[in-house]
Amino acid sequence: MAPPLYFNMITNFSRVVELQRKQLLTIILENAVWIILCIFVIINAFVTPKFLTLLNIRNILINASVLGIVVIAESLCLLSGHLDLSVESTLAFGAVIGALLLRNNLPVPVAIVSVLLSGVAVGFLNGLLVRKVGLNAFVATLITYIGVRGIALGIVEGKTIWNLPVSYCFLGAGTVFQIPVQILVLILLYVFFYWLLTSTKFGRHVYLIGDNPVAAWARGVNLDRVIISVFVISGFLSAFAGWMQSGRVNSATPNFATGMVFDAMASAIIGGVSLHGGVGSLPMALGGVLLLTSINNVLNLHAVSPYWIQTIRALMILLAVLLDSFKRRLVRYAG
Amino acid sequence: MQDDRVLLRMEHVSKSFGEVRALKDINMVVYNQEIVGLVGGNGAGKSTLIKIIAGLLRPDSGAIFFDGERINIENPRKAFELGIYTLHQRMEEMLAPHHSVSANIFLGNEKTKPLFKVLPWPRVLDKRKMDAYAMELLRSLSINIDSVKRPVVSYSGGQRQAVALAGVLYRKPKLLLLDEPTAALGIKEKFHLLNLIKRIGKEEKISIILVSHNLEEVFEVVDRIVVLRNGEIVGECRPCSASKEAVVSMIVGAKGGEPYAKNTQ
Repeated sequence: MAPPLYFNMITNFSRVVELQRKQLLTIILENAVWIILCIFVIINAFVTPKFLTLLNIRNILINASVLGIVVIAESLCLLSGHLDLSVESTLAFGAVIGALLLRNNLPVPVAIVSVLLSGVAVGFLNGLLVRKVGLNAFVATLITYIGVRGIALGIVEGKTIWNLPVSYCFLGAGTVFQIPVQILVLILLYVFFYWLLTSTKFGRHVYLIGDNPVAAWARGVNLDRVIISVFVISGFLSAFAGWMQSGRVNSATPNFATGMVFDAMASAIIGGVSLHGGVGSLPMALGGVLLLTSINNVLNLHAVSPYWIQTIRALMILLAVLLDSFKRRLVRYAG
Repeated sequence: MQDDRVLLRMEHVSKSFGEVRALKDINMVVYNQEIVGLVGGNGAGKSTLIKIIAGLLRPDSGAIFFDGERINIENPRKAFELGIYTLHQRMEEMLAPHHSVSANIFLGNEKTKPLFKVLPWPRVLDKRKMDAYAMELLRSLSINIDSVKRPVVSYSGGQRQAVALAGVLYRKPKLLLLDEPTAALGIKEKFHLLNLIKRIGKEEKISIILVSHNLEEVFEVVDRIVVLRNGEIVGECRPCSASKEAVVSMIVGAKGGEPYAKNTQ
């Protein structure tokens, strides 16, 4: 019988088209940040003078690097289902510790190791407060958010330390073949942590714990070890970013990066990292960082009043969250 | 399909919650490769008994022997180490919804390979091997999943239950505790899962304790029925030699049941 067969073929064909359209939409939504970033760059290449110049792009990347590293730290915590508010305080604390030791004529390597260890210590404290004391991550890191900046303010009595050794500043201000070191480091860190999250057992456990901690626990995943490690890595990266920041401006002040935690969370959310944990990816978070930094850059080039930047950022986050919930619904009904 | 070796033996196990005596002097035996149905009304103590075996509750008194050794199941992890796994009514709560079927089956037990063949470290996830193994496992259980790479949220309730079951079977359990596994399922899915339970009991050589309200399905699947009432074992029978009416009367406590002699070897 020809008609039914013919009919069948048509319905099958339309189903395939339907499926492909859905898959295409999912792919677009999953890479929404990069697509939006591309559109943004293309539009501004015409609209904004001096936007698409090598110097300006270099400028954007340099401005993105410190925030970008903090976003890796924040994303790791968010993926495991935890908030880390203390990243910006750890950044300032690390910077101040390093500068203080250098001021007291300690060798550069000692200062660098101390900076990184101070970050590890803050992260470990966060991890202990969450897993061993049993505090909510928001509360635990709120304590260190306030306290650690307090210590940074206390040990230098609020003063800024200037004139750091050139070798210490290499990370933040040096260049290799005319490419700023901080951009190279940013790329390396993203590649490494992307690999860590997607290809290792540790990374998979970070995602699974964020998605359903009870399931992970019930199947014998060591929650204490994974979550404390996540906080330690977060602290380490934040202090590392502090070292970079102080090298860039050749000074260290306990008021470094005030409010950066909100930029970091905004970037991660714009990049599609879920606040509930378990969903999101680092390349998308990097897209969020670059988009946020480019927007700031364009507003600067157009000499828009900086007082409006916050509002625009809020709209960006709103858009990102709406896209995310749309994507979620699509995934659920795709089958 | 059982053999005569005793896998689990509970002697004089009691548990109270304040004034309420949830379990009174329970003596129970589960043989190797046996499917035992645990039935009883609300508050009969079925869940308490299961939770004690799974390590979620600790008994007030009594002894538990597993594989011939006296044991102390202080937490769920200890139960896993012994080979005792539980699947709940809402098994899907024990899955990571946004992760692939394969990731869920291997949750906590991921396969890895060395990143560089000559070095023992660092090791990376062997995704291809896990996907292939997961697909094979699901096929051998005749669980209908079209792609192990799709997230669990995109599958139906019954499929999720099956994935959770596959994840547990992969660990090669000795004793499987099923706490009303079909309660949240549709008729067709229920039928499929029951067949699956019956098959794995035989093929995978594991003992199963099935808790259920539904006598129909208990009679369908189990080798032996244990009836609980008010925290006590009031009778045991085999589905082939007892009628549903007799079991019902044991559950509600009316006369006319024909309890077997209690197993006390």
